[in-house]
Amino acid sequence: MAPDAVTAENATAETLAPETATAVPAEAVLPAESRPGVPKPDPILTARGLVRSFGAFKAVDIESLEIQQGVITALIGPNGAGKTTFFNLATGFDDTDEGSCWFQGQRITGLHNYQISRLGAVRTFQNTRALTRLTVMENMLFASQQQVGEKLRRVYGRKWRRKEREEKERAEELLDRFALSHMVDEFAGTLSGGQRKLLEMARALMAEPTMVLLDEPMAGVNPALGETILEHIVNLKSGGTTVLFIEHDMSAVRKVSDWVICLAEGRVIAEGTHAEIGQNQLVLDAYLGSTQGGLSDGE
Amino acid sequence: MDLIDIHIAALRASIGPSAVAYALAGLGLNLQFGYAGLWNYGHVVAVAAGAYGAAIPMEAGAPLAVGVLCGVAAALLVSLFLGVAALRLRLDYLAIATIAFAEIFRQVVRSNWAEPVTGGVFGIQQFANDFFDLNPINPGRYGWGVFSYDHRSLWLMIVGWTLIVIGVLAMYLLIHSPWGRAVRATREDEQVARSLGKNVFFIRLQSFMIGSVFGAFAGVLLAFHHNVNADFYNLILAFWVYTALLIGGLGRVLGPVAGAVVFWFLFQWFDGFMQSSIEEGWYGSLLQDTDAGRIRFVLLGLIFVLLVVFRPQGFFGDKEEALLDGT
Repeated sequence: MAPDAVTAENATAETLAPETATAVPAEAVLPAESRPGVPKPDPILTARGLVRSFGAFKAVDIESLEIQQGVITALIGPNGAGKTTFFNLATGFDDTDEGSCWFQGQRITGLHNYQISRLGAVRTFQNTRALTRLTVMENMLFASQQQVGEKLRRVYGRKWRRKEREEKERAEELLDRFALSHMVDEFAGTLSGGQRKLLEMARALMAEPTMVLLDEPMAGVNPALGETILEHIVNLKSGGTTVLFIEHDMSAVRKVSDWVICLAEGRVIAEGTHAEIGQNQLVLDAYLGSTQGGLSDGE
Repeated sequence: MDLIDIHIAALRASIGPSAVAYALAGLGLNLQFGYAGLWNYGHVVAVAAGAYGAAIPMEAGAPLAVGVLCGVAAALLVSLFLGVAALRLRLDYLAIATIAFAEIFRQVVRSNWAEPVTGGVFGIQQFANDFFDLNPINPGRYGWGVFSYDHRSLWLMIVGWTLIVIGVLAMYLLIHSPWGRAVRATREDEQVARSLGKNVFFIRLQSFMIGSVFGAFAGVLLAFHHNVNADFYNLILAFWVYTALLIGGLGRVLGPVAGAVVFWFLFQWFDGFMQSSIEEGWYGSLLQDTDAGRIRFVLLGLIFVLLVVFRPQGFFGDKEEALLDGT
C-alpha cells in the first residue's frame, strides 16, 4: 500500500461517526489525489471517453473514470447529471455512442446486458422492480446463477433438484438477513414499497456479484429502513463485494461511502472523500446552480 | 323443447375431437401467453403449419409417422422464423406482428400460386387413411342416443386425449422446473431478468417454439378430422382458442383443458337452445332459423366479457395472482 494512500484513508476515518467507523477497514486502498478521473490503485470498473447523447444533449461525457475494487463508491450529482445513464451504459442497458467500459480488465462495451451481469456486475433499478406474480422465494431462486435446471435439456433430469435445495437454503439465509423470512411464500406483488427495496437488494446478492450497482437504494423508504439498507451496504463491502451506488442524501453518502464521485451535466466534476467533496466549490455550485436546491444534509 | 337432448349434445361436443384440438392448442398458447406473457395471436399459424406439414407429405404417400414429424417440424420452423423476427419487439408490437403473420400465412397457403402444393382454396382431402387404418374400433356408432360418436371420431378422441394427458404431464414438469420459473420471471419484468444474467430473448424463443409444438399436434388432429382447408385457420380460430384458455384460467396447467371442455359445451348448448327456441317461435319474426348460428357467437362473446370482468382468473386461476399487475 502506498504511504500517501494511508493519509487519505485516515482523513476519511476522522470524519466518520463512531458507530459507522468500520465503513473503512484498513485494507481499503484509495488514490492519493482527488482530481476528477484520477486513476485508482486497483480499478474494477473503468470508463474511457464514454459519450451518450440524446439528440444534441450529451447525457454522459466522461473522459476517464475508474471505480476502485473493494470499496463503497457513491455517485452523486444534481438531477439530470447523467448518473443513471452512466449506470445504463456500464451495465449494457443502453447503447454507448463513443468510448468503452472495462470490467475487471475485460472490455464490456458491446456485450449484452445479461452477459455483463454474468461477469459479476449486477445492477438494481431506481424504480423498484419486483417480479410481482412470483413468490418472494421464487424471486430469490430466479437470481441464482448456478441453476442448471434453467437449461431446457436439463428440465426432465434430476440434477437440478439437489441444486434447488442448496439454493433455497442460501436464499432463506439472505431473506433472514433482510427481514423477509415471514414473506417467503407470498407473491412479491403483495410486498410494501420498502420490502420490495429489500427484496431487490437480496435478489441481487443471490446472484453472488463481485460488484453491485445500486440505483438510489434508499429512494422512497422511511429513515429507519434507510439505516437498515445502509448497514446492508456496509456488510456487502465486508463480504468482499464492490459497491457503487447513486444517492441524493448526503448524510447517507457520508455514513457509508469511502469515495465520492460527483457528476454534473454528464461530466465528472469532482472526486474524493466525502469530506473533500462537501467543501468542493464546483460541487456546491453544481447543486446550487441547479433548480433542485443545495446539498441536503438531512441533519 | 327437449332440454335434456340439448344438454346431452353439449356434453358430447365438450369432449369431442374439436375440444381435443382446442385443449392441445390451448396448452401451447398457455405456455406462450399465460406463462411467458407473449401476446401471440399467430398461434393459429402453428396449428395450420402442423396440419399442412402433415397433410402435404401424407398426400404424396409418406407414412403416418413421417407426416406427423413433418407437421411438428413445420410448426417449429415457422415459429423459429416468427420468433427471431418478432420476439425482439416490444410485446404489444408482437401482438400486431403475429396477427399480420397469421393472415399472410393463410393468404399464401390459399393462393393460386401455392395451389400445386397446398391445394389452394380447395385444401387437401383424403390423406389420413394411414391414421384411420390403425383404428382398432370396428365401424359403427358407439354410445347412447344423442351421446354417441362414430368409430373415426372415437379413434381421434382416444389418440387426442392420450396426447392431452402426456402434454399436461410434460407441461407440469416444465412449468415447475427452474426453466418454467425463468419463463414466468421474463413475463413479469424482462429488465430484471436481464440484470440477473438471463438471456430473455432465448427463453422467450424456447417457450414460443415449445408452445407451437402443442399447436402442431392440434393441427395434425384437426387435419385428420376435418381435412385441410386454409380458411379454417383464420383469426377467429385464434380468438376462440384464447377464449377457451381464459375460461379455464391463464397460467394453470389444467386451465386450457378445462377451458376447451367448457367452451365446447357452451358453444353446442347455445346452438341447440337457440335452434329449438327459434323453431318454437319464441321470438316471433324477430329471429329466423339462420340466426341461431350467429346468436350463439354473440352469447359466447357475452360470456367472455362477463368472465373477464367478474372472474379474470377463469375457473382454475388464482384471483389474487390475476389481479396483481406488473407494478
